[in-house]
Amino acid sequence: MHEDDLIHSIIKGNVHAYEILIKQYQANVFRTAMGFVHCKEDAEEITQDVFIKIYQSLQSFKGTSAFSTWLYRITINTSLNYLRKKKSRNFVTGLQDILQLASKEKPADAIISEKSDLGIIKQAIDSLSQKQRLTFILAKYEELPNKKIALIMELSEGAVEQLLIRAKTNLKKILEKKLDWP
Amino acid sequence: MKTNKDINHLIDAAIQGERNIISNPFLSTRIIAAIESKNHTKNNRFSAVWKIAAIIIGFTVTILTGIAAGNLYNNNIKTPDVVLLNDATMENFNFYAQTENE
Repeated sequence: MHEDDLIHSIIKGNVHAYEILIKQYQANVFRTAMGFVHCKEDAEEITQDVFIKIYQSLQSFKGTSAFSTWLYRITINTSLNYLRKKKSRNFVTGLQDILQLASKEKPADAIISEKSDLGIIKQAIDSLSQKQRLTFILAKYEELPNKKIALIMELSEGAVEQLLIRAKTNLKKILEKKLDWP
Repeated sequence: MKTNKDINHLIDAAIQGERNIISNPFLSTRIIAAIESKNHTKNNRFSAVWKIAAIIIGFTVTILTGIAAGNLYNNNIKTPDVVLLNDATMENFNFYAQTENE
């Protein structure tokens, strides 16, 4: 079934058609979310939220841009909102720990994952500026061409290319410091 | 000595590692179930309103029926208190009593 027909069918209330659409894009949404949260469970939660949002607002999709572009924009917004909520939740938990005079030491597995090369790389990606991070995730995790990234981020292709170069340079700088490489 | 190439390799390896993680194969089913449960909750909210309305209407009808029945009873009481009946031609009840003793 063609994508437009699928969307029309979903708007008419065909849930089975929506399941087909989910299976078609599930991996893309999940991978993008992984780029933001680096955690399978969190990425699955974001994927679920994204598809529920899309189902609820599919009637407002006018088709002026490709469905995938719209989907990526929703995924990015949902992921950023999720991170914001998680940050505030962590802040409250941290305050509770201080108030309860609990041990400030982090769990052993958290320390190990933070100190490993993989953990450091993830932290470095997260520390990039928002635009650089978005460009980097879409280019590296989703392997999207600059043209598509430009459409999603509503920027020119040149701007995307610049952001990507800066993201890679910054990432290298951060990693050279953190990994103690000469 | 480690080079830029090594850093690039490390970054690519880290990203590839995350790219290889596959989501739960039942995620789509979970999403559909979540959507259906949300729709169901919406319908339930609607039916809950109707349930409350039906209960209120039921109570009102019962009370009004009670009042109407009460009024009907009062109307019946308005019949004359004394009934004058000429029972001269009525059969004597003792006759039946006597035949019973035969």
